[in-house]
Amino acid sequence: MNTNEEIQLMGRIASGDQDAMSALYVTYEKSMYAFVLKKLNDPQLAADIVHETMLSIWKNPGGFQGKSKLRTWLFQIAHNKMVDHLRKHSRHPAEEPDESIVDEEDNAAIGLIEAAQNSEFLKFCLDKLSEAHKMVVHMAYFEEMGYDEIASILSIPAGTVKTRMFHAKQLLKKCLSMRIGNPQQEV
Amino acid sequence: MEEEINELRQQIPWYVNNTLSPEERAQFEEGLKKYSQLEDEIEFARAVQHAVAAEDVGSPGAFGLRRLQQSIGNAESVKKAAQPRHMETRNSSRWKWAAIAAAVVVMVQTGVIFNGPGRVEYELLGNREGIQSLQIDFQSGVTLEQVNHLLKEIEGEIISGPSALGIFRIHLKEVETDKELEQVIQTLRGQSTIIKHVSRD
Repeated sequence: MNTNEEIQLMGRIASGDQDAMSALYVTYEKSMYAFVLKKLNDPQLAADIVHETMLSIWKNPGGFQGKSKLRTWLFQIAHNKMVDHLRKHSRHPAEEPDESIVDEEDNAAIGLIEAAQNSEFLKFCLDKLSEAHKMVVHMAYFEEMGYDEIASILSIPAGTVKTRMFHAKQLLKKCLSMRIGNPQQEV
Repeated sequence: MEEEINELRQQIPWYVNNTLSPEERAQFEEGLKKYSQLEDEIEFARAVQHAVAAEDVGSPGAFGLRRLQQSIGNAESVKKAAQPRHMETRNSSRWKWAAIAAAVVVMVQTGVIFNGPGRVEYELLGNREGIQSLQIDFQSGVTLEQVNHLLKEIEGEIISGPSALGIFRIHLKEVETDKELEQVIQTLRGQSTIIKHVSRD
């Protein structure tokens, strides 16, 4: 969907066209749910946040002015709703990752690529990442978002997005190295 | 040199997911010619990308849409009640649509019992006690007609649903033993084009 089509779609929603709202839902629901679930890790709650986000778009479609991609705007709303929910329920809204790890490249690159191609190893190591690291990895590789778009949605500087992604990669490598060394070991 | 390599390293995820601007991409590819050791890192990033992209997290799908339509119908009803009468003719098709959605929800929450030609009775299924029941998650795009057909086949009635995740609770009228219940579950698991997941309630 290009920018003109996005503006047209939101215009139809603003005029009360429920078919247009259904089209928006069908287009973005799955990726929005995956995004929310990645942060909250609670399927029921994730479904509720997606529902609330979509309903708030129906009630206030004029908030989209075409200055950003429609997806960016939708995900910003979903992200804000998640943060609000976590605040209301006394959970810290944004778990800050440990950025103090040493940035060193190891020499076992080929072994690590093979380990990364082992989906069981990789899934294990992805699950071990902090929530903040998981989010950027998910947004970059599942949603295929650029660093600027991720920064805009999460309300953090673009440099932080890059740093988080870099550290997430380092942590994955470290975890995979340990898995190669001892597949039974809990990292 | 190390600083330059580190800058390129930070660009790898965005090179791999193809979101760098044309200028950034050209600059990155120029750097890649100088530092071929980054090729392994690109391959590593692609392996991670492949694994993450292949993840299937599911979603509420069609049932989430019905839930949204129901909420929109409710919101619009409230708005309509607050509007002056002369405004009511506008968007009349929306109210017809909302009424259909509401009717579907009523069918789902009460259960329709067919008692021979010409006689249809309604009963609040959620009020029943001590019943054998299942939880079913239907595939996206399944129609109400398909659901009704399936319910007739297994002699089931919807007790409640869809939940936020699109789960229906189904009462099995003719099932009494665990063995019979297991047989029905196995039969339903064979209908993967209609049913995504089925389990004991």
